[in-house]
Amino acid sequence: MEPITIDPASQLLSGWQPASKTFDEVRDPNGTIRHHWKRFFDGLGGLGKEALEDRWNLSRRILRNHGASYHVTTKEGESERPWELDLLPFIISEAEWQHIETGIIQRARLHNLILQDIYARPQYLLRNGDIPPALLFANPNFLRACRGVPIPGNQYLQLHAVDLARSPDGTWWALDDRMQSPNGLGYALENRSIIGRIHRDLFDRDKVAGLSSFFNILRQNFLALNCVHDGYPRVVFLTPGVHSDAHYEHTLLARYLGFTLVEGGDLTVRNGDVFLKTVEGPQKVNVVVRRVNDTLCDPTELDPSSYQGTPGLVQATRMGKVALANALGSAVVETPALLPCLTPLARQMLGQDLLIPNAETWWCGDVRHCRYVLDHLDRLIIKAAFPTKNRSTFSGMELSGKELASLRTKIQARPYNYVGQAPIELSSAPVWNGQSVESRPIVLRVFVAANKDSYAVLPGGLTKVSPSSHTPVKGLRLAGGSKDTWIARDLIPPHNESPIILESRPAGRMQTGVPSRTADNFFWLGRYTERLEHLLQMLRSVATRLTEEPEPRALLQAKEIVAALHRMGFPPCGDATVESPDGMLTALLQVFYQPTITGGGADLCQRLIYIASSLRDRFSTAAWQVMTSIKQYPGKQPLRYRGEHLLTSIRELMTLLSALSGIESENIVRGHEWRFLDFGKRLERSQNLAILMRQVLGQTIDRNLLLNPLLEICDSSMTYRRQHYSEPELESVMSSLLLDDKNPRALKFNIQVMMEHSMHLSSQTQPNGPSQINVALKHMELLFEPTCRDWKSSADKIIPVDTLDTQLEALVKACEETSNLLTHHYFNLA
Amino acid sequence: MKYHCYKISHSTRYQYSAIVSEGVHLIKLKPRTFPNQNCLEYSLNILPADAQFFDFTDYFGNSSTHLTVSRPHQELIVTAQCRVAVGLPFWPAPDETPSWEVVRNQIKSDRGALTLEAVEYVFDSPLIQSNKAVAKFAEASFTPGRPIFEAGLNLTQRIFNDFQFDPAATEVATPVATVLSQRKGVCQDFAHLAIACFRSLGLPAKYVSGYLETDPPPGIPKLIGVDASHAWLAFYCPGIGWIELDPTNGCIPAMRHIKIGFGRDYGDIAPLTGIIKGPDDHTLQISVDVMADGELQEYASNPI
Repeated sequence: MEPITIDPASQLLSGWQPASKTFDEVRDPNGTIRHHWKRFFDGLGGLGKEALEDRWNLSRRILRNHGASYHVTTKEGESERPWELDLLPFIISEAEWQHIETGIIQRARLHNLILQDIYARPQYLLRNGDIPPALLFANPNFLRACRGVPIPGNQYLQLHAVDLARSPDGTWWALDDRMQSPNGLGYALENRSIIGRIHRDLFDRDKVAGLSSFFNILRQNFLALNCVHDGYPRVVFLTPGVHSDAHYEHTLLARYLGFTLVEGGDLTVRNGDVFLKTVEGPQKVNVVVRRVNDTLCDPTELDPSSYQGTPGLVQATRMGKVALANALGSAVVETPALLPCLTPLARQMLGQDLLIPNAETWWCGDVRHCRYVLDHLDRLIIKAAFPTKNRSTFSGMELSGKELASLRTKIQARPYNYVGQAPIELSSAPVWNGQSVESRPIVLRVFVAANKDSYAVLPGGLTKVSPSSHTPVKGLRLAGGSKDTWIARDLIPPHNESPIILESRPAGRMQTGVPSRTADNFFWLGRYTERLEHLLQMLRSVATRLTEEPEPRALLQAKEIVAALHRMGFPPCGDATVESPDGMLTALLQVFYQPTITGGGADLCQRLIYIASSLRDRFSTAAWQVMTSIKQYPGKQPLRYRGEHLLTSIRELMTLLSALSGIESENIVRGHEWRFLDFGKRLERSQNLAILMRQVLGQTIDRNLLLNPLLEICDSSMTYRRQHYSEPELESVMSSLLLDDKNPRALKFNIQVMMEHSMHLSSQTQPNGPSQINVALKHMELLFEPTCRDWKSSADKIIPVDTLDTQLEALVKACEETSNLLTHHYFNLA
Repeated sequence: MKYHCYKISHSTRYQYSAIVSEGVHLIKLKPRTFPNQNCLEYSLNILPADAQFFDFTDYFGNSSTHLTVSRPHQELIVTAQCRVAVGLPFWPAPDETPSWEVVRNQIKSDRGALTLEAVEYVFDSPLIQSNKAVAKFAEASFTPGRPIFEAGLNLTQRIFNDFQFDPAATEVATPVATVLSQRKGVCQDFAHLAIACFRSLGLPAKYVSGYLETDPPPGIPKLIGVDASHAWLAFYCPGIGWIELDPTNGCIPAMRHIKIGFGRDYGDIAPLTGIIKGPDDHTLQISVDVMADGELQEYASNPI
């Protein structure tokens, strides 16, 4: 006889209770699990609790490895938050989705018509009183410079995002629109790539709508924005930079769509054409997909204080030479003040009612609305009508009498700057908290893209989850939690969808040309990794001598290296206390841990991470994982077992650096990126070696004192021992570190590699500039040959210390010169 | 109608402390044509000579030139030369204009094309943010029921009498509130302040950029602000249009004021702005010369 079982879905949901008076997304009023959730929960419940925990941990691990993050700015400053993703998707039935889909398309069409009227027509809406003058004229996002600018296909909005919320009666309401930089699409992609993989079994069974064709449409649409007669259009993805809140998403989308990620400074406008500055010279840009806000795109004609844009961009669009997506000026309709006008506008312009109603909104620019808002201030959410930098939102319910009075005064002074919105009690969706299913309020962000003469809606979206169990009054931020969003297919057979794999680039032609800034960043990535490694080697050589059994000669060596560190510009190493072993250790700890010390451990780690962040679109997941680990260093300064902690941290960090250099040497194509990276590394190494050798030569009493540390720091002890079978001697150490062309740590080897890089670069890039670099390098290579030949052939074989010292000094200068030449010829392209 | 003709030369020279690799500039120096003004000739000279430029008409109808210098340079010289005929504008008797409250109410409700064009100038603009102090200052001139032109003239006179012309006191972005509290500034500040006063009462007012005659005929004193471009304002009067006022000189602009164009504030009609890629330091030399160049009974047959 079969044992009696409760069905797995009910078992999983047994403890689950939605917040009272909210719409229950999972169960209908009779308590029956809704059809589109049932299949998922049956499958999930059938897995057993252990498997669920496994999946949960796995999803968190993948997310961490991807390094998905979102920047948030708070009163305390800026910080990067890891992206939060729930184990359970949000599931919508197909029938309901069809309603949302048509509603969103209607919304996009309506907004586009309004934009056409504002920017391309004689502003009939304004003239007929359909939109009040203040909505335009007091709106800082009405870009006067963009009126009359030609727009490809009269389509202003290539991508449009809408936030939807479901009220207790089950109705979906539109809360807000995003047009100028509709964030979230990349995070939706990220969520699907993880949840789709983790619940692969449940995903297939549910016949969930795939996302890849939407992204194909999006890509094709961007490519088609600017007609190019001579070849393939070049599309760039413009990001405000690494400090931008959704920079992670920008790198992800640029990579997934196959467009070059650029910042405003990478572009230049000449003769009305937009060019990308690359190491191969300027390359024409046809389409700019932008995530820079409207007013910040061009400091000459828009906000002059902006550093994110490109001077002349407005002129380029005015001349029709480049297409921007979304079109400049779109943000004028990204205002809650427009919401009250939308219902009549839909009737008038489309002859239809709004399919998805707006959350009830009153704009204080209208006298009657203003009166209503002021009368109901303690029951409404008050928003800035024209948010510029931050979207300040107040909840009347939460304000004190005094705060309400002050808000009232502000509204009365400039009523058109404020809107009031009726709060919506958000619906409850299930969330996995690690042990069980609990209830959280959600908001759904959906995306609609232009598709030739029509529109396409992403069959899914980004479900934003409240961090607590009750409705947050200020709305849901992207930085909170999120869910993958599934459209459960019943009716329509699945399209030809491919799974979302973020590692691979999609089919289609990749765009060539390394932006100068990217090359510059790779060069400095190479320099900083090498600089960090060198510092770690030096710190380690001192720290091991201090922590081992104290031995007079070792202490003497330690003292000399500390002195050398002081001469290299580390102030703590010059303190009077460094006379004692304990004092030396204190100095080392400071150099390693204190972020204020330029060129110290903490400082270099930070620089490394910063540069790596701006190169993220060009990093593999593996490389980024190493970077994420480096981010943990140096950590907090230890109070006890200081030497051991320091050494352990140094060793760990060095392991990470070797991992990175392994990836660099084995997993990067030998293109320009790699050459600049390696060039930077070789240059830094040569310079550091020369500086260190001068310190050794500067030992007047005992020149052999620092030979062992020198070999250690240059990671050449083994090599030397294998070649000489003896304690190091000055002459042989010097000549092998200077002239060995087989040892990657020796000067000659590095200079020869740099020469090879330089030859390669000059043959493939700008022909005239780099010859100077070749000359400088040739000079470096030949610097030591005659001296070494002379000293080796001399009778006494005594090293000409002074000559060598002068030559090393010259080498250090030559390295700086080479760095400047590279900067001038490759990175500073106007 | 009699026209005074002027020959105007306006030269701006930037010398940068180091090489500038590229520069993008916006030039608004060509005087517009109005019912009482006609630009007869205009030429623009730019060094470096291979700079690229494109002419266009901006949102406000001002002639504009977009300039790009895409090669290394250490000096930029922009010289505009023009010949302009200026006739006497029409203005009504101040006491016959409608009261300022009537204008305010019409602006609030009327959606006729002319009013609509004026409504834009009621709101704060990037460089003109009014506040309570400004409104209070304005109210002394805009007493209940006072005809708008009369009130405007009174405001103009008050600024002229109570404020000191002092180029050292302000910068381009000095807020109106600061100008009001320190009672010092230059023509641009006074124009901004007067505009803020109108707007604080819900009345449209716009910023006018232009020139003054450099050397007046014998016996007539030089006006203030002759060595550079000048600025004043125009307010909206229903049935008439825009009426100009010059608070720096306490007068109604007539045949010695030559208009380049207008906007919401200085930012919309700055003569020469730009972004360069290069050093922060530069020296700037501006020379403006406005010479009387005879009279005309009618303007030349082909206005440009």
